[in-house]
Amino acid sequence: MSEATGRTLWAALQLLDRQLRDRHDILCGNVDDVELTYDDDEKVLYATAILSGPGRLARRMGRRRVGDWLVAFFASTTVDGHDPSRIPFRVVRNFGPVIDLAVDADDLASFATERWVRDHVISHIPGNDHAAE
Amino acid sequence: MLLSELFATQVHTADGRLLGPVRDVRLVQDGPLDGFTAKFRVDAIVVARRSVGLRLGYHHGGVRSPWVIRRVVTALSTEVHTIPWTDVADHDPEGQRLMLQATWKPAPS
Repeated sequence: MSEATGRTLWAALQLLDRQLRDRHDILCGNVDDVELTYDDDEKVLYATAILSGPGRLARRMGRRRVGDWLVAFFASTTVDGHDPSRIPFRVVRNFGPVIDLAVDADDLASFATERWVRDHVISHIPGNDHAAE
Repeated sequence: MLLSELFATQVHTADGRLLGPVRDVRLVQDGPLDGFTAKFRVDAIVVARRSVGLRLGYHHGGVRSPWVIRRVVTALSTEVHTIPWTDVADHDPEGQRLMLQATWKPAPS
C-alpha cells in the first residue's frame, strides 16, 4: 500500500455525527452522511460533500422515500433551487471534535424547517412584527 | 453515492468468501484541488463481521489506552480487515456488493 501523504480522516470515527459550527460560531447541525463521487477515469472514489439536514438523516436511518422528499422539498424552498443539505468539503475550515464551516447557518438545511415556518406561517399572523416580551 | 450506502455494502474475496460489511472508510486529502484545498480520496475501507467497539478507535483510530478495554474490545472483534481501495476489483453499488482482487491477502494479526 502506498504511504498516504495528505491529512487522514476516518469517516465513521472522525466525521459522522460530528457537530457542525458556522463561521459565526453558531452550532448548525450534525454530519448526517457524506457524498461520495466516482471518478471513472481514475477509478478513484472521492468524498465531495458533507450532508446535513432532516432529509439526510431520515435517508440514513432507512427512510429513503421520506428522506428524498424532504431533501427535494427544502431544495425547492431556496431561491436558486440548490440543495441546502449539501455542504462541499471546500467550505470546511477545520476538522476536529467540532467541524468549523466557512458558511452561515442560515444557508444550511438544519434551520430550513424554522425558516419555512417563519416565512409561510408566522409572518402571516397579525402582530408578528415584534418580538415576544 | 452516499457513505451510508457504502456501509451497507458486503465485501467478498475473489474466491467468494464473505468478509462482512464496510464499517469505516479512511479518507486521505491528496486528491486534485477543489477550491483552495485538495479533495478527500477514499484510501481504504475497514471490513468486519462484528462491529463491537469498532467506533472506539482501538482497531484503526490509533487509540491505545486504557489497555484493559483495548484487550476486551480487540478480543471481541477478531476479524477486522483494513483493505486498501486499490485492492477492490469490482464495486456494484446497486447490488451493494464489493469484490476484492485475487491478490488480496489478510494482513497477519
